[in-house]
Amino acid sequence: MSDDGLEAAVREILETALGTPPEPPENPSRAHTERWDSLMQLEIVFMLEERFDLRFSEQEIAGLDSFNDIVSVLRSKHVG
Amino acid sequence: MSADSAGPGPSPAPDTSSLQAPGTSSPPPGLILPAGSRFHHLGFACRSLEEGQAGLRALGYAAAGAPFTDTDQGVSGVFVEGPGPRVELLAPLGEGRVLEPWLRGGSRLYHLAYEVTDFEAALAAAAAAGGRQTSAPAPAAAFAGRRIAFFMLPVRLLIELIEPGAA
Repeated sequence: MSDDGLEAAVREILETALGTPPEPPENPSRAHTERWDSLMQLEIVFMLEERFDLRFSEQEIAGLDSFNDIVSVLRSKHVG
Repeated sequence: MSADSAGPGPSPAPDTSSLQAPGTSSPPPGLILPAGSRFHHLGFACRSLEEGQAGLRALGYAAAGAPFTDTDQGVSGVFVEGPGPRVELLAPLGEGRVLEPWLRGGSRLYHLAYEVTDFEAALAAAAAAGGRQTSAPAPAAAFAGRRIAFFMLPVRLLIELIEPGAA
């Protein structure tokens, strides 16, 4: 998957989970998205794991606080 | 529901002839619950215990134990029983936020709870099944200090595992 493809896939997952385009547009984050609570975090984790056929460690999940964080962790796992 | 700073004592949960720890009884491959485990209750989030009890009264439910508070989880609770599964009503306590996603999201069904015959085996099996532990095992006020743990399963169902009673 190309970098653009990876980022598009992550954006699609965030928009599907959160229902609306998350904020801020350039780097959606938990800090700026009220609906991105602990329950939504698990939903996003499950969606990412299912989409990319991988499993995050607890430490990785704790760091998935924004679009950029997610893309960075996925790249570290050789996705994209 | 969770940690009890007061330590073991009388359980607010109804006496249901609690399971006794049988030693090791790992779940069959692919299953989470060890043999002999059983459903214990359905957790239901509400803004207040009074609101929850009033709402379920129409279905024939009544309190089946004393209300309890769990300061670590930030909830108060009470078990109610009626013509259906036992229900644990849970309401926010103080600034407790653990129930907020359910209360805000409109789904009040919070979790299904199982009293398991082998707590450690069930924890491992839940993780192996892809479940995500949402709270570490901790003594529960609702169960006189017996440990509980919560897992969100990939099917998006939150389950509570309850340690068996002492042998």
